[in-house]
Amino acid sequence: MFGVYFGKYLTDIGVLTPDTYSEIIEKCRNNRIEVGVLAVNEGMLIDAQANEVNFLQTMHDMKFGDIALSMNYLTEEQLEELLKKQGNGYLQFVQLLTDEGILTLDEIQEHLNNFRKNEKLTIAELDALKRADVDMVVSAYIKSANVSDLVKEYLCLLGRNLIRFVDNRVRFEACNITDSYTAKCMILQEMTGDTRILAGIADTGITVVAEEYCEEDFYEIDEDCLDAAGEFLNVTNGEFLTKLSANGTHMDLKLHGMYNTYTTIEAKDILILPCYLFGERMDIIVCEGGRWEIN
Amino acid sequence: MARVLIVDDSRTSRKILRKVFEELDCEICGEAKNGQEGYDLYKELQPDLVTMDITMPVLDGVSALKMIKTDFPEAKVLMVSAAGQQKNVLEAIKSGASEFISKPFNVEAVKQALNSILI
Repeated sequence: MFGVYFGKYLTDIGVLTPDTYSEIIEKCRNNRIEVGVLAVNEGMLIDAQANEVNFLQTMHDMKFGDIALSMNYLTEEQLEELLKKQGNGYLQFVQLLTDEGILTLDEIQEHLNNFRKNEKLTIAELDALKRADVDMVVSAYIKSANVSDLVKEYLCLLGRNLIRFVDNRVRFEACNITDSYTAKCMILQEMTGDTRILAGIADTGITVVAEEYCEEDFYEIDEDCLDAAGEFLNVTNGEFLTKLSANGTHMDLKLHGMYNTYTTIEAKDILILPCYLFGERMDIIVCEGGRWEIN
Repeated sequence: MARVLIVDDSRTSRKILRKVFEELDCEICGEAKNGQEGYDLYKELQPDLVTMDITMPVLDGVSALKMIKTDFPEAKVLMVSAAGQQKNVLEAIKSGASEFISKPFNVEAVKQALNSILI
């Protein structure tokens, strides 16, 4: 996760070329070994246990290690050892920059300080990015907006699901608040009950969501492509409402709307959180309470 | 080989379910995009099992379930929904559903539900 943020910054200021950036990100993707594979290789889990944890991971919004701990398949010490072996994405990226002779450690530190200021991140938020703490990273990019805890919780879940189902190196950018938002393609779903939330996704990154979630190639944003991305949104929203209902907040899902021509949402305080999935931009849209119009 | 009717408005969801049931050696005898189509196809095909989404256009899944169970009390209906809130599960079971699974699902989850319904 860290590499796509810092690498993008280094590319923007001309330290990396776009090609070098892509190559380094690809190397980071290829070098990372799953915790389950490591655990089997180290003899800490047998295949059947790793498969069982993998299966449970597809149904629950939890990390492999946390599920394995809850099932007593791994101890805290074993998990810690595996995570050390798996390596830290931040260190891996820094190592590649120095190994390739692109930057020295001192230069990296200087750029890192400038990157933090440029992204308006606190030291704690930069540390969260280094350790790929999705909830804290999402929170950092929406901190300029005055959103409720409910919306924050929703966006964190959506962030985790983008990593789980679509791209484990998703990159967020600072959110903005507007009263009118227009996009050429958009999927929107309303959740109503104790409160009302309109949540959606828009722009070309929808294709990436559709392809990764449905495991099918889409060459244009057509009805099938929107259906696949819409199902991802539907599943995420359903999961959100299920979690809320366990805490006493009750809401229902409405049918999602799919728009493949220029569509505008008008409402007070629409939150737009841009993210990049395999380089394609997708806007996450959230309105809470109030009224909205879709034209 | 169990004959299965899939009722879901999402093409993607139908595709995922079809793949899962084929891995479990089931025959997909029909697919419907809403509760009304699902009810009509049930009457025509009388499958061993129906998977029924809840939120659908034209006629929702719980209404379709009630219609099927009224005319065919022995029907086996597996409710499938993204929203697995307790009240949805209870309403579906009260209306005659045999089992309820939440999306996202995979082969193991469907297999467990299938075994509990058909065996």
